[in-house]
Amino acid sequence: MGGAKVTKGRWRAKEPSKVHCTERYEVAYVIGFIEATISGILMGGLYGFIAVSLSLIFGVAKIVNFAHGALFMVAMFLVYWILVLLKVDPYLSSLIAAGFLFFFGYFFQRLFIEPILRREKETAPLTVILLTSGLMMIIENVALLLFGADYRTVKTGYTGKVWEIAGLFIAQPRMIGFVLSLVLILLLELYLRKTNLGRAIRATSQDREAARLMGIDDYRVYKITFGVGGTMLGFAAAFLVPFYFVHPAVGELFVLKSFVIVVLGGLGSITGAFLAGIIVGIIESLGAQFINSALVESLIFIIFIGCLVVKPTGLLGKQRE
Amino acid sequence: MAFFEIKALQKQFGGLVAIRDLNMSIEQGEIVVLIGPNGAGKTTLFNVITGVYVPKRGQILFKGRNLVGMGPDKICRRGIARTFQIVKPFHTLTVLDNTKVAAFCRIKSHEKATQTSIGILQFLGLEDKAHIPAEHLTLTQKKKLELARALATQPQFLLLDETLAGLNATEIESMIETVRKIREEKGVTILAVEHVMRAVMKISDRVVVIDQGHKIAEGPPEEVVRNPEVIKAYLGEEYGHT
Amino acid sequence: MSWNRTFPAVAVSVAVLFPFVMRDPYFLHAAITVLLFAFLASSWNIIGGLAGQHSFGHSVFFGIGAYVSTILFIYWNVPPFLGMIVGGIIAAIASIGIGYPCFKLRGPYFALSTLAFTEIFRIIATTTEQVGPVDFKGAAGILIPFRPGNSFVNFQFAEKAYYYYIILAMLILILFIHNWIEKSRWGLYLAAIRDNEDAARSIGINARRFKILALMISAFFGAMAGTFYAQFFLYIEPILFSSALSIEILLIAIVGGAGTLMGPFLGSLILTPISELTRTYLGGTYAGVQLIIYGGVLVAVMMFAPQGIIPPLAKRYRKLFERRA
Repeated sequence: MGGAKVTKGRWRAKEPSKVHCTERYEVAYVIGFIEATISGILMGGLYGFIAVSLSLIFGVAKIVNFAHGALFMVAMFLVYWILVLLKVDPYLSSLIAAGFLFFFGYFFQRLFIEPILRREKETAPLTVILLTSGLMMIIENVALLLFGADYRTVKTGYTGKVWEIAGLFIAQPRMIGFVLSLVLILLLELYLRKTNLGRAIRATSQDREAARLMGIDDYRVYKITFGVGGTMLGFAAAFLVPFYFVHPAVGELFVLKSFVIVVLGGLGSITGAFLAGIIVGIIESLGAQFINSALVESLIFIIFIGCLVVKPTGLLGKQRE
Repeated sequence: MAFFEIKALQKQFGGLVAIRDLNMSIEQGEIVVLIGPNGAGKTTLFNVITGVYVPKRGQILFKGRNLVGMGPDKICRRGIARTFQIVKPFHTLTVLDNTKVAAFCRIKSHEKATQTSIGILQFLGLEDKAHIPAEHLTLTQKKKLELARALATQPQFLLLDETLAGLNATEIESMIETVRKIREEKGVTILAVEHVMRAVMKISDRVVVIDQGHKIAEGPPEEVVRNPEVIKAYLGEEYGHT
Repeated sequence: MSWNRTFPAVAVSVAVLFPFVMRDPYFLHAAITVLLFAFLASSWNIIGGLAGQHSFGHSVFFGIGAYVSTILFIYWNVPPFLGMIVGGIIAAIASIGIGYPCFKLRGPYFALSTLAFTEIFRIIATTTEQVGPVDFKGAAGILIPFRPGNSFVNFQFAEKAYYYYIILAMLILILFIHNWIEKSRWGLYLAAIRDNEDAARSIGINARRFKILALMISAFFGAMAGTFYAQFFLYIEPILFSSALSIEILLIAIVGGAGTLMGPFLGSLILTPISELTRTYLGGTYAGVQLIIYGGVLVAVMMFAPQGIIPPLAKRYRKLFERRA
């Protein structure tokens, strides 16, 4: 990173005689910087999308679902195998994945979460975290046994391809995934605001008891919410497979980060989660330019804890005191 | 210097103003009852006084010292105790231990704390339940335990939040007597939130009416009840002229 | 009650005589592991069971203990017993920094923030190599230099029985401390905080101070366990900081009954052998199966006995396993 020594990526007015190599270094560095930022935004949008699916579950059912990453992994493998065996493009198979994950999420909730919700008034976070951690371990290791520990990648018509916009190189799959995620999130917002079921979901997330008194079957709401969350994971998997690797433990990379993003963005706020995802993506991408990428992860956690202490409701949170 | 004074208190939650420019003062030894329609801000006021919420503006003066900014534990040590509208017993502890742990606020030794606690439990008629875990009590008993716990901290000022809710007629009479005895025998000043009007009339020296976070009337109970503003707040416009 | 006196006496006698009866080093090794995790879970029990703060960050203290005593031993020849104390103190200080932000949070946020700390420490441990004169070796982990023979100074013993008695003594120590805290004024405060923190504050209890104090004690002993681990297994690595270990510790305490005196021991008695057996017979090719079984245990316990397996059984044998009531 020779450019780092020259300037911090800022244009500096130079006397004509001194404008030669250093200027080109600086230009290259600035471009690299901008591209990293864009890449971070795009990846962050996908993080945000996954986080929104978690936010729904966390916000509505108040469940800390550690198995969320494992579900995502299942979706990724589904898209992967459909691509490899049936030669169906991920963007097309995303609908299949989304549908399958809806039912997977729905029944996941019904089998494992609901009995606990029915049993206790306030679901102790301890119980749920341990339960979902156990489920995550089972799902991941079954996948490990079935599929082995190889890191798999795919090559689609647009894997590794870039678009050139205004002199900047932007990865195609990331861009497509980002745009589609944005569209889906807008659709989700519309759904939550305009449809009856959407309103029922929002009501339950605000006050479970009050919603029940109004005739809303909160258990059905939870199942649907898990289903919708699963659907989003199905789409997210389809967006990621073209450029990310597939591996039984891939979910672990996303789980804790998703929780961080959800909390940073504010519980109950979908836009908040999406924006927080973008911010995390930028931090990750830019941070990796300066320090070890693993340390960037810990930086994110440190910011997370700091945020929790200073403003527990997150950037755009709507929870009351 | 008034015993307890609230000056220009303001508390809001985001855009919702829960307490608006509230002024109030209480003399030592008084029993003042706070009434008002639901959602008027009474429990919020209790939470602000005891340090659970921080007000946006205003002062809360207890024996001259401003309590704003202090946490609930510090305020308790200064001599203000409270009960909760929704009872919060320590469910895994016995009735005696529930009281003892509060007594430890002022007493260090186990024996003395036990003695004092048993005395308080006797005062409230709970002594035969002393070794029963709190979770096995009836609601009425839990409310008494709530009171026992508050008394164990030897407060000078006691805040009672709807202690009578859910009690039957006999229990209400008994509780009124108990509250009276607390003032007479222990010299505790009392500020209570109550909805049971019969009890309010019987027990209060003075009534303060709160509506939408603001004081709209105060005075002896018989006067306040006839105040047209108060009637309007409870029953609506049409009944204001009665 | 005589039961209360004779039973522990009998139990301790059995425990003390165990190495003489059971000569097989493999079983002795297993027993030591059981006691180690019982000790570790008991240390968690102070903050998690008595104070009711379900911290998912206990592995941090374990790791700190392991690394501190090891570094001191390798680079400055500090006897590990001394390093154990130093590690404990450092962990206790670190616990203030961890507790201060985390205890401002409740419920799932508290759990997540403690979990975040384990990740922070794990990542730092994995990526840290040379710092000044000290090589932390990052992900590769550190081997504790082998010293032959039985030596208390080096805290290394050729005969496992020594380790057994040391960890047994440590376990008895922490059980005494647990019991002492529980029966003291402080124990009542912690129970009040556990049952209802708002009510506890309303009767004058400075919840934050007591939570942090409880955490410091938990951290100190958690670190001690780390040192023992280092000196017994002679190898430490960043995985010791992982959230997986934190969860394992929790599970042991929960299964046995969080908050009870013997809960962690009983939990370890049940879970550690399962973990060891599956690791022995299924490790390697089928390493995933061990985790599937472990996950299954987690799910089963949480779905059917979230209060632990022991407490319901214990209700029948109340005199033996009496929780403070």
